[in-house]
Amino acid sequence: MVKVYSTPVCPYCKLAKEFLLQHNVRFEEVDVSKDEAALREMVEKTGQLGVPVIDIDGTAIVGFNRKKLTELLDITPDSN
Amino acid sequence: MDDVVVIGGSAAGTAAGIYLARRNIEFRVISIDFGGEVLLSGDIQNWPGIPETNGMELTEKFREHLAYYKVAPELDVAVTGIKKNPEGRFIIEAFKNGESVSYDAKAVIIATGSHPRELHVPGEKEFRGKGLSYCTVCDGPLFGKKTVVTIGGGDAASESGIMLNDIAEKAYVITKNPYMKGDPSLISRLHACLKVTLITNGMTKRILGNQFVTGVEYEDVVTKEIKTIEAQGVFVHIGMIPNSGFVPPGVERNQYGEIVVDKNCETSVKGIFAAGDVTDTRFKQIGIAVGQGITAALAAVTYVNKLGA
Repeated sequence: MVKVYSTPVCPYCKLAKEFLLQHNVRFEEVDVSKDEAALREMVEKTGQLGVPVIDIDGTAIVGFNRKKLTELLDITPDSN
Repeated sequence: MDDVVVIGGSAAGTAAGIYLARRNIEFRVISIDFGGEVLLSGDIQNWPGIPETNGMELTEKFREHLAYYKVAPELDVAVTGIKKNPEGRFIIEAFKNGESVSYDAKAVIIATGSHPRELHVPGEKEFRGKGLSYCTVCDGPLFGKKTVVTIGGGDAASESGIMLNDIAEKAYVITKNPYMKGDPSLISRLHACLKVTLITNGMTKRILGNQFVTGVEYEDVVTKEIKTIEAQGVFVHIGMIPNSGFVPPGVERNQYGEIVVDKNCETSVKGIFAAGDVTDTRFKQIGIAVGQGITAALAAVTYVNKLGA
């Protein structure tokens, strides 16, 4: 399961979500600027306060990191 | 081999890409990311033709405009050096997705922008990502009902304070200067923010915290008194550093590391051009970066055509 912790105005959250959509990865999205329980959960998982966090089957990636997402989701890297 | 390689995928790199696409030459745009600091800009109200936009929207427009000309920037490319080979062409060495790659070009346009300057005070590294951030647009919304501090005295600090006024319970803006500098309209808006307290003559000394940020210690530079603000979030906006570390020593840079360019965006090395915030242009603005990107592209085309003549 893929879960994205994000806020509405965060540019890298948008990039991360676009990346997942482009590669047909289904994900659940939580807005941690409004959902305090989700924010606590994100902090507990990562020990930090920064978005986006992408949780892939229990492994949390902090920030938009194409390389790590590509590896963990077993996506074929972009040819460009 | 390309005629021109553009390094950088934000305002200057996009403008260069658009203009090169309209010429009959081989080129590519390589970059670590797309949008750079423009993407993180928040509200933008001085881009001609669009009274109100933001960094995300404008970046998307840049991407669409390049796509219109069938230009797809190569991303995740971190340039490590530029060398000249015996034939006089430039070899650009880089890592792409962690693997060594190189590009071969007759001319190079450096449009790599800049990155946030750090405070270099105790606690800064320790609490980075733990309440301390260099991007209010990214992490500001996490601090609803919290007290936050923006450190800085220019436009980015004003914008940060204005944004946090709408989010936080209480916000402070601390500048070491006697007053805020930069765009007067932004400064007026900052002064009108009811939740923001502006602290002038305040030199940040330490970021305080345990597991996460708990406050900021600063010195009143007039009275020499050390004061503390309790806060859960700290946003650092104290200026930018040019991304010019990979630039070869032959290319002249000023004391700030900015690449010195002439009015045609030529550097001290023939065939290497530079544009945007990585240069020594006085005003760092998206519009100016675009203008320099165009200038660099046209000058590079002229250079390449002369080589072939």
